[in-house]
Amino acid sequence: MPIKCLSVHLTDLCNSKCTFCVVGSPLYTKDTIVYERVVQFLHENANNGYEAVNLHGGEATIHPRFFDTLEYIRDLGYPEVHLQTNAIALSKPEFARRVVELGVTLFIISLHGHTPEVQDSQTGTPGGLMRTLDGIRNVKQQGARVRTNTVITRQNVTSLPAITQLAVDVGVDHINFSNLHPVGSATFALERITPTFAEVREYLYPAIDIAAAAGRRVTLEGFPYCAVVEKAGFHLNNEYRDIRMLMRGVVIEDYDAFMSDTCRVFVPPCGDCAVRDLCGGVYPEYVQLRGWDEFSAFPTAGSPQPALAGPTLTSH
Amino acid sequence: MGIRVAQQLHEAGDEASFVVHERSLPLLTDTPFRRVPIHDHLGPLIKLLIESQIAEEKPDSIILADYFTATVLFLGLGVDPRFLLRFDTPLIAIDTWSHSETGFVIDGYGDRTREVANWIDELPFRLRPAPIVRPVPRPGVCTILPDPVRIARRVRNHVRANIGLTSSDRAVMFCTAQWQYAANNDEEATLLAENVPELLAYYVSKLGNDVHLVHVGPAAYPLSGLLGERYHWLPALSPDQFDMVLGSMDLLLSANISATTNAKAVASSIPVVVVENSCLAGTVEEAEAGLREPPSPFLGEWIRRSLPLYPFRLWPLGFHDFLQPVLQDNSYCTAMEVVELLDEDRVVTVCGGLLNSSAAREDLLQCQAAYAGETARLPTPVEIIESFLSGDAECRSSA
Ligand code: SF4
Repeated sequence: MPIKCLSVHLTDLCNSKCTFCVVGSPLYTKDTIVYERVVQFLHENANNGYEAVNLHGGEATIHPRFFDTLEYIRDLGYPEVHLQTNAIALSKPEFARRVVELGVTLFIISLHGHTPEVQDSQTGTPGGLMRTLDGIRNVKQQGARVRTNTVITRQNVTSLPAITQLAVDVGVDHINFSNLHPVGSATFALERITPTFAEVREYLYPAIDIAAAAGRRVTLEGFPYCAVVEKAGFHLNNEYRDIRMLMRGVVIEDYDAFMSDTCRVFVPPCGDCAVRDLCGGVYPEYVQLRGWDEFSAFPTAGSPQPALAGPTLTSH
Repeated sequence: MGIRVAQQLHEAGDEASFVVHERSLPLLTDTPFRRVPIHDHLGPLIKLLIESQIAEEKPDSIILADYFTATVLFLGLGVDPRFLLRFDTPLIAIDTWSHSETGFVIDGYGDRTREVANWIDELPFRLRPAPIVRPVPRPGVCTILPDPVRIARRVRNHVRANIGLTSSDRAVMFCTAQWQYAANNDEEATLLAENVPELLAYYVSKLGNDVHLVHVGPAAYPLSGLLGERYHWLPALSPDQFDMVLGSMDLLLSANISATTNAKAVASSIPVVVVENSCLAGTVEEAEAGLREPPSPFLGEWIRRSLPLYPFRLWPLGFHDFLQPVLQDNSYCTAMEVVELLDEDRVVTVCGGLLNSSAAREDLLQCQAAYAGETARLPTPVEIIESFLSGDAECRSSA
């Protein structure tokens, strides 16, 4: 069931230095977030039907007022908290326990490799993978749900099946694969880290099969529909129905519309594409780098349609 | 340049708005300035557009940013730019090239020249920005040396690692703009536009296996054959991102002596090497006659493929002889190393010295600091504009 969600960028700062950081956290030496504005945003949206607050950054867990924020969200009566995190802080059992106690029900945890070589070289955090895995185990032990998020890069694309197997083995409920959004830190690494969709499909499809066979929910985020035609039923586009976001002091009323309108473009094949509205198009930075030869319109009405319903394999 | 002046005016509490050709609109992205686009189909109606803008906004002054560009634009639309003198509003020209020194005939491709309409003496006042004019206090001379780029070590490390540089690699930056790819559909200019990056990449390839070329520009060049994974292309960046990359580099290599990036690098203590070409040659023999030594096989082959060669200081447009007077005895040229494109030995020696020898680097950085000191003694454009508008006699005498 899609839920109405309030989304908060709590901090610009992070304890990782991911090559592909979409908000460019490694480029910040000072936090630009005014905490009082976060508090005000949470306060003014309380009792407006939001079913979850999604906290992200940067790395929300390193914010000095992180626990205060969780307490405040709880006191305001929001039913759920979702936390996007690299889970490094959660490797301490006590920290993980406290976070779950304060109401975080879903952890969306970055998992970009299955070995330290693959993960830590991309996150710039030696020892990070092991702590992330400990963090996953700790929150699972507390009964929380875990969704991993794997951003697909040239550095991890061949490892996607192994990363998926690792996620299955540590008990992850939901495995999400994100199409690299080549902005923020990735701007400086475009050619080096951006795979083509042909490269992605070769390893992504077996990875999806591994997750599905293990009974885990698996989704794809930010992919042009025609780039993953055979897995068109896995798009993560209906989990939240209404996302209101506070991002660096700016309120984005409808995050999905924002992404479609300002972060994606339609290329010529999109003109008469049957799934244009659902898909939203492609990242212009990708088109600048690789052109648009890989994209082609979905057939319009009357032609056989791909299955676009949400995946049925779900563990929550 | 116009945007920098507008930003300074904005910071001083003034308002600025632009009447700007549609091609240049992207330059105003993320700026707070009102903009009215000029489309080519407007033709002489541009006069009406400007008249209505002046009637609506009632500005305290009109700034031509710059004299050369505005003159070419108006004449291209079929309008004599002197119509601007009819308004009661004071007219100020940014005289980027210091036309009283450089003149009005610009050398371009081969032996072709282009004449710029000369009406500058009819203007009541002009700003002469350093760089590129000499930083010597004279009426109208102002500093436009940018603020230095300073980035934190953590950011520098992240940017370099993301580009694909290890901690021991050295990075040479090269920047291009759209106009440098195909020059006015001119065959010779386009040939040089295409081939110069290849020669520069060849020079970089000789600097050592740990020296990388970081190219920022609208499109990549096919340089992987020469440099392999030591060639990194970054598409056009936002101003902040551009500064982060510039501030992470060990050397800036430029083929345009007037580029604002050179000035930013000078202000930021980043060594700059500018290549220019003084060789006008239609044959291999003519080209080789000007060399101090016989060319290497690569350079010889490159010359053969790139003929005819024509001189430039603004690659690939030319501007070689045109700029000579303003560069003469100009301390800006001491803040950079200026080398001849075909002098392989010198290009490699100078670049290698700046990358490998702390003494060579230190010498150049001292010259940059001295230049920055000279420009710091000059007034800013805003200070000059304000004194002009308040009727300062000395300013008026600059015309
Ligand atoms: S053609 Fe365009 S709109 Fe259609 S699926 Fe591909 S990217 Fe999306």
